[in-house]
Amino acid sequence: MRRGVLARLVAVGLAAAAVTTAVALFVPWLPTPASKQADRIDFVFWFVTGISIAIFALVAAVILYSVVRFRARPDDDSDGAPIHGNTTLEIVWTAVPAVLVTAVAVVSAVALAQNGHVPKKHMRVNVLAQQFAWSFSYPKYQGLTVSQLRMPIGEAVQLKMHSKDVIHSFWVPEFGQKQDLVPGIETNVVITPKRLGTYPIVCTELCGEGHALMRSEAVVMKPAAFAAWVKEQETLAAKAAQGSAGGGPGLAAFNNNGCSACHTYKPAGSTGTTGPDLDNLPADARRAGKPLVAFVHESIVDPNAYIEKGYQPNIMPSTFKSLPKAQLDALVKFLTQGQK
Amino acid sequence: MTSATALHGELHAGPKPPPHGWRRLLAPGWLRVPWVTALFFGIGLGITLLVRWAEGWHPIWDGQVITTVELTAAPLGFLVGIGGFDYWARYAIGSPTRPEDHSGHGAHSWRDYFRVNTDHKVIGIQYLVTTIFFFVAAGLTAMIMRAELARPGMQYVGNQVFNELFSVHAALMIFLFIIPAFAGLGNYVIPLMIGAPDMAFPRLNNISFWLLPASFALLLTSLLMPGAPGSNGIGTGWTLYAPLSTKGTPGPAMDFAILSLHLAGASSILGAINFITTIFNMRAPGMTLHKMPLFV
Repeated sequence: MRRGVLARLVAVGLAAAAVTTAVALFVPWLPTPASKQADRIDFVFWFVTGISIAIFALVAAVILYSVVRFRARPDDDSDGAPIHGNTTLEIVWTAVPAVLVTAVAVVSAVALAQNGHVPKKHMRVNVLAQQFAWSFSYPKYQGLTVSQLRMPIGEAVQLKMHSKDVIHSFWVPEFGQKQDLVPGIETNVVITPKRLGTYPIVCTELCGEGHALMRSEAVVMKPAAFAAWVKEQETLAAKAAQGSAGGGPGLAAFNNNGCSACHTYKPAGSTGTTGPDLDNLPADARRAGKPLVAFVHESIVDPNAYIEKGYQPNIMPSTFKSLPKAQLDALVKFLTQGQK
Repeated sequence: MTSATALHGELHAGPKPPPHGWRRLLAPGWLRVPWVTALFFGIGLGITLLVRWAEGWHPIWDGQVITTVELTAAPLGFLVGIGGFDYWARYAIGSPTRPEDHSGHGAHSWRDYFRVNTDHKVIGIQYLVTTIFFFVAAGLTAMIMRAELARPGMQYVGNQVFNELFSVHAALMIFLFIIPAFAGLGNYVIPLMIGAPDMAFPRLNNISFWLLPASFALLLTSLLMPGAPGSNGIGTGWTLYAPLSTKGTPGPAMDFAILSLHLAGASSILGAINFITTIFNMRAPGMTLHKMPLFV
């Protein structure tokens, strides 16, 4: 009799566990991890899921068995047995969850500590967020600043993150980590990419009107390809410095203020599509009915003065009017003289 | 008339006949709301201007300061107008108080649900019906959002209006639906379940309800006020994280939203005090804390 009860309980429990395990395994809940840190987070996730499945199976087995075995028959008006208290059972059902919660806490703490560890050999990247753009600069390569995060595979990258205006949050689903960027303090994330590919960077803290458009890409490259890309960027900067666009301070202002995140502009090698293509500025100026230099200047300090067809007002921040005059002039020069 | 009733009449003003003509403006209710609200608005304005003038703060007429003061003064005027403070005012100035035994409780017609009332069941119904109205209002903002998202690209509202819609949607759902809906349910059933004649502080209970319409009005008005540069309303989500809600939203919309949350918060704090006092002190004889119904 007792053995029969146990066998039925185990059978029901295994069935419940099988169903929940199938739900956990066959629904793609999380993206495929693309970094070592995401692997650790995945491990914690599966650790907790495993415990949850076991507890669910136990509870489901007891409930289903009791509902069937002890249900009131139509002619049964009697009271239930007056059962009160079972000290052993109470100690067990307090101790087991306590042990499990402690185990989850320890595993999470270890995973978080390992994820926060910065290996000795790492590359530093400064991240600057502002309404509504990301920019990434590489101190290792003379402050090369771009709007996409590019990383060589297998090398730890420490992101040192700052915000210029409001709270933003850096999130790449495939890297498994989120980190807020809070104005006035520096926050850190360590990423050790382990899978080649291009992943979305999403701002995941409501930061204003253009929040939904505040996106970029993280590109994980082979080391050789990464080195080639760095070289290409450096030549581009050098060429811009000598070329007709005036380069130098103008290009620096273009990249440092995040213009490249939203605008395509060939002399700067940028490919953003949130804002209008800056290679067409002369045509835009004609439509706005203004001379090119005045138009470019106005569009930087007062973006809403003229809105190109197909774009919306208030997406470009109006904070650029506070740029130092030298930077602003260099930027206008860079944008006007780079036109063909 | 016996001497006993004469004495009684001196202590308590008996139920008066309903006022006629212009005196109806003086009776608590919706006729008194507009002019008392306007009066409190004027008093708030006067005090602000007087203080700024006396202290030599220029400009004396500062829109932002006046808005902030009025956001407190006008809802208070609304509460006074609807009659939330009448009993205390009569008591404080020494005039005879109105009897508040249970014969005067309850609703006699549907109109009584739109007036001040100290009956816990009437207040419970007022709470529940009003919060369901807020729920529908918040649901409509969600409908606009879903309509906008039904197709890629822009259809009905712009980026910022979309942000405002979900901010107001969330604030409504949390502060004016979930929280007060439980207060309404509790108001109706808790005194019945623990054997209390009513809530411990019936007049306070009445005020905590009438704070909600004022809060709703302010939150809705915030949609029409200048918020972030070039747009109306608050587009910061219901969490209102600074600096997006401070530097990022210079207009008065944020003041309206914050004062609205203050009123809703005051409402739920007063309600909570009432519940705790009722549950601790007004249980039926023999009902110990461990013998209370599970719901309570």
